[in-house]
Amino acid sequence: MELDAIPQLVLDGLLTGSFYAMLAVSFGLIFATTRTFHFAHALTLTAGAYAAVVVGERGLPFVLALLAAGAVGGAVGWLTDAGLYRPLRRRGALSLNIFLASLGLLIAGEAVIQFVFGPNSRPLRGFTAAGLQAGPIATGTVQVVMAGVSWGLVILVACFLHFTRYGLAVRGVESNAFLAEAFGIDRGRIFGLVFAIGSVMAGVGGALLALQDTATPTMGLAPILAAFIAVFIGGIGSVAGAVIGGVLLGLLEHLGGIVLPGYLQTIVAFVLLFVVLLVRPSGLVARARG
Amino acid sequence: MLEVDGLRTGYRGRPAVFDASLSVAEGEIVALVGHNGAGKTTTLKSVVGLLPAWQGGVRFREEDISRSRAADNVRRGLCFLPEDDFVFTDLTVEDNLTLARFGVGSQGRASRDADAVRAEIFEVLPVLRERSKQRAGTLSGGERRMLSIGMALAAEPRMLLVDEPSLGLAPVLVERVMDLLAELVRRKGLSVLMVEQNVDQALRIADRCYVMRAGRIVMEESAARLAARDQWWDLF
Repeated sequence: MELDAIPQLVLDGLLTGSFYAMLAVSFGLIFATTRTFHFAHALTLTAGAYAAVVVGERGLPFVLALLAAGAVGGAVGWLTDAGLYRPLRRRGALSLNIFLASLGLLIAGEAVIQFVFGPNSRPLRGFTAAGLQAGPIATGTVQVVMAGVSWGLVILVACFLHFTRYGLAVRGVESNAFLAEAFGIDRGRIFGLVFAIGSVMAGVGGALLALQDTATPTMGLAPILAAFIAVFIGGIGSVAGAVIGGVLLGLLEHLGGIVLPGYLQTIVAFVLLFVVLLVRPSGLVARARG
Repeated sequence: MLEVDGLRTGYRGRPAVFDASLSVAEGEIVALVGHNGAGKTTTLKSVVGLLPAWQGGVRFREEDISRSRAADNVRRGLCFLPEDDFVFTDLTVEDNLTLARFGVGSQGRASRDADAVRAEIFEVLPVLRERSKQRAGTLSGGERRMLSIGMALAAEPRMLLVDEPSLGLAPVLVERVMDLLAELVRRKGLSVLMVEQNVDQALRIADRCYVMRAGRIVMEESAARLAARDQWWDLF
């Protein structure tokens, strides 16, 4: 057992966990407010990554690539709600129908991206990566940027939810959509708003992943699965829960490396999910419903 | 104030209300009574725009609102208080009152200062001031109903549509809630259309009453005359 490696693994876990936390907040915001299992969030992430890659290939600054990723992600998410989910909801579709439609959109969307950009991976240019060393632990500027941008977005969303009129409306729809509508809150508009916000985050997340690795047509599914697991670990409907779930997941994935061989590390997330579902099914930061 | 003419509506293609016609004048309390499943709640939901009207017309202050969405009707001054889940349990009392004002201040309606409205609500319902930082889900049943009335006040409505305000409350609280509704009508000049199973209490504060049976309005009577009957259950 490599105990000397623990500080390094904790740092790596916190950095990865920060990214998971951001994705969990984005997925959780949509799920808790609209009760839509938005599997196509993975497509939004991929679209954001490719938007950033295209901007980067034109020699434009990295910040512009991030902004483009957010804008494209937000547009894809909003259009998915307006063009697919809203008509289905209007026809009284069941959650399962909507989930299947979302899955279908993801598969079709990935095929379109592969058709347009090709199957090969594409790097995100425009950012010069460098290593950072502090005593025995090391990381890179890419990982620090990923964590910094992730925390920035999480704090922005938390402030929006708790200090703005529309943020309160989102929390109202999440708490009781029927009553919110009875008090003049347009549920459809609020759904569109949370799809846009969550999708901006996913799009930026795609750009960050492309920066760390590369963009591929199927890159979205694994991180969105991690986000979904983090949401259920932390507790649905809570930004704090999603953040705790994400950070915990990142930490355990890396610390699992002390006792588990590399090829088994991916099961850590699912083991954690099973334990939480068995011991505390409503999540670690669950609110008592009145 | 409100005129419903030949309303027909229902759920998923199945009609639940047939040719319902009723009216509520300014400053009037009208009760809509009948058995479970008679179509009372469905009528309220359709009037406020939460359920589309299939046929017939709904006019509010001379304006046709038959095809209007709930959000627009709230801005016109209609306020619907549902029979259950009538507060945002995950939010604090204060947030509930703030959210209830979401639709205030548009459609040409003059709105008052939010702080003044809040102060007035706390004066009428002091328990809400004491509990303002508390999550609504932790309030007692009676306190939740008080909060829902406070939310209705915050929305500065012209007309309240109240569904079963006595549901789940102890008898002493039912009386208190009914008195409060009557007082609000007096103080604010509101109109009220109220669905209520507790007919005695409803008739105590109502001016007029409609009886619904199997989706149809089968009787209209003054509340005083209906209350004077030896029995009214045979009407249901």
